[in-house]
Amino acid sequence: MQFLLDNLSALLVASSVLLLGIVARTDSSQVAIEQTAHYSSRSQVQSFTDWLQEDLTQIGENYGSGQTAFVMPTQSTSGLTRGMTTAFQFHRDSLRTVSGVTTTYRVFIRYRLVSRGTVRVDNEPSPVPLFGVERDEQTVPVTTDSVTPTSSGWVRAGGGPGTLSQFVIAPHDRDGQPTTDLARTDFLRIRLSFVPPYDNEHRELHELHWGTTVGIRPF
Amino acid sequence: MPQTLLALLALSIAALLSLNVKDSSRGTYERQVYDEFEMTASAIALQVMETAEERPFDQRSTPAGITAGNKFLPVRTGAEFSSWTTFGGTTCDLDALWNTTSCDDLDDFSGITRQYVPFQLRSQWSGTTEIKRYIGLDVSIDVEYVLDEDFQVESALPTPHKRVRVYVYLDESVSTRRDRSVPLATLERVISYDERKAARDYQRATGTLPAGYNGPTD
Repeated sequence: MQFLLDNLSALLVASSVLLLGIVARTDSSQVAIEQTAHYSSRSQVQSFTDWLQEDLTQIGENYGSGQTAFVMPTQSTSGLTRGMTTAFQFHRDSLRTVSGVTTTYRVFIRYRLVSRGTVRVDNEPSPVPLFGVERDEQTVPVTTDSVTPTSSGWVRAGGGPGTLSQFVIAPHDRDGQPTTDLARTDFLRIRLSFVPPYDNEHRELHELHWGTTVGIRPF
Repeated sequence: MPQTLLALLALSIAALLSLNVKDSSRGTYERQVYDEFEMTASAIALQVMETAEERPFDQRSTPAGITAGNKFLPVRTGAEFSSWTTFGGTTCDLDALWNTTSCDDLDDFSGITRQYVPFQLRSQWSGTTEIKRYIGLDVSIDVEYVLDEDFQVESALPTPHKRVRVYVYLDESVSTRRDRSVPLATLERVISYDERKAARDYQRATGTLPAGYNGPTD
């Protein structure tokens, strides 16, 4: 005890230095975790948006000009998916030559929004539902111009991360006004939000956002 | 005395270390937030560019212009297009173009300076009420004629090519130490006159193809 009292000031200084060191180390660890989560999340979404954009810019490729090559996106009006796009189907044509015979195929692609649980986000009063996008493909020989996909012919062909908190494909007309009229649709505006996959209570960015606009005329 | 000085030195070094870590954290967070603004700026720039590109190339090639001049412009020399001195001067609401119907061709976007354009984030719901949330950034646009043989060179005379530059800046409402005069995103595209598009625009507006159009039909 006498020793401690004799070196009280030294002890206080040592404790302060130690405390500052611990705080600095904790802070830097949290920042490192958040940075990793941020870039990992961005990278996942980047690969998702890359193929999404590639898909959407191919809508109606090799298809008759002036014909619509997509079905209006299904917009949910209730439940956890309220305000989001739950399904979207479009197609393009492709040629395949086998033994000198060339056949036209119609490649149908559809996106489906599937639930992936919930996550607690700091500034939200209730848990935020998370979703993933599943991509299905079906290739059908064009025997008549009105060929349609069959319900059993879909094959899973890709998908996005299950961390989406918003997925909207919104048709707009040439004036940028939202529309539900296929004939007036000139653009598709895509908006995504996603939650970084690793939880960190000191996270500064709770949700990240991405958007693009794809012109789809002439079909 | 030496012990006190050493203690002070130790405390100073620890405080400096802590400050350094805090400063580094702040820098990291600032970069992340800035990355997000850049992503939003790119989305807004693309949205504005796509909308502008969908407009008729020139006042003379709008359905009203074709009707007023009683002439479709199949010739691509560009000589009959509007002078650059008439560019801009029209009110264009980039977020609600349907409210500014006089903003009806590509060069009407020229001269837009620091116009606020919102980007919608995920909506929150309070019962059945949708609470929309936005990030807003400022957009400026320049449109110029460029030479047929070199798109990097401006032309004082009309040509069939217009270069559109969209700049997106941080809005005044965003608190930042960054220089607001430096664009977050810049998008540049050269848009050329397409008689087929002009004919299609006319057909959409009037139901018939314009007289004098001999190109392919849909």
